[in-house]
Amino acid sequence: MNPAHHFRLQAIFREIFDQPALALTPELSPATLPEWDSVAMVQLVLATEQAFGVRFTMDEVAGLKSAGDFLTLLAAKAP
Amino acid sequence: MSAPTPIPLLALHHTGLLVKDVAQAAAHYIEVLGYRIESEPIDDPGQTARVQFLRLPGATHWLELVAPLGPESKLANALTKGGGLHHLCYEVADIVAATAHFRAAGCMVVSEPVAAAAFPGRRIAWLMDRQRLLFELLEAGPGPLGLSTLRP
Repeated sequence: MNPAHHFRLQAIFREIFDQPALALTPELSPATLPEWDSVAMVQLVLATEQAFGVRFTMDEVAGLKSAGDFLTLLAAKAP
Repeated sequence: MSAPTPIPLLALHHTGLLVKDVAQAAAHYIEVLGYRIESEPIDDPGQTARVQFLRLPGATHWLELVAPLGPESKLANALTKGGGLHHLCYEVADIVAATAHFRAAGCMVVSEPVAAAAFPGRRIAWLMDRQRLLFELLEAGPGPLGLSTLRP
């Protein structure tokens, strides 16, 4: 796991979910975080794209099921 | 990002305001700001929302009060952040084409066009643009709460 990616992604999750103490783990998902609904998902994607200067395809977005998926995708797109 | 198709003609239909209690909020906007009631409170299980439409005299769009329909509503979390201005809604002639256009233009589709209880026979879609503005598309058509009733 890229620590810089983890740190920046955690900041995004904290902002979107308004949880300053949220600890980002790869297992974090809509199943473990009830606030992670469809609107929050879009907010996460847009904020991540903006913060990392990347653009996700529709197929890539469809494959994002957890925080770990975000980190894996970022490792490939923003190494 | 440029879009491959012409920009759909958008007409502002309503501004959505997220509130805790529709009746309480409606009373405020009627008594304090002079709005008038334009619909009964409408429960939409599909959207997990209760909505009611108000309008200022002479205005050509509505104010939609939106409240969570029960504690499991998708809106309950948003309300914990304080509510307030929630979304803009635009009426469009072809909602499928408009949704495809905005997707191609870089907007994220939150939900594809589906039927909505507040607008019988018409569909709505939800999108978010790159500024993270949540907006709704509403299929134009006859019936109550259609812009054609306000803009002959």
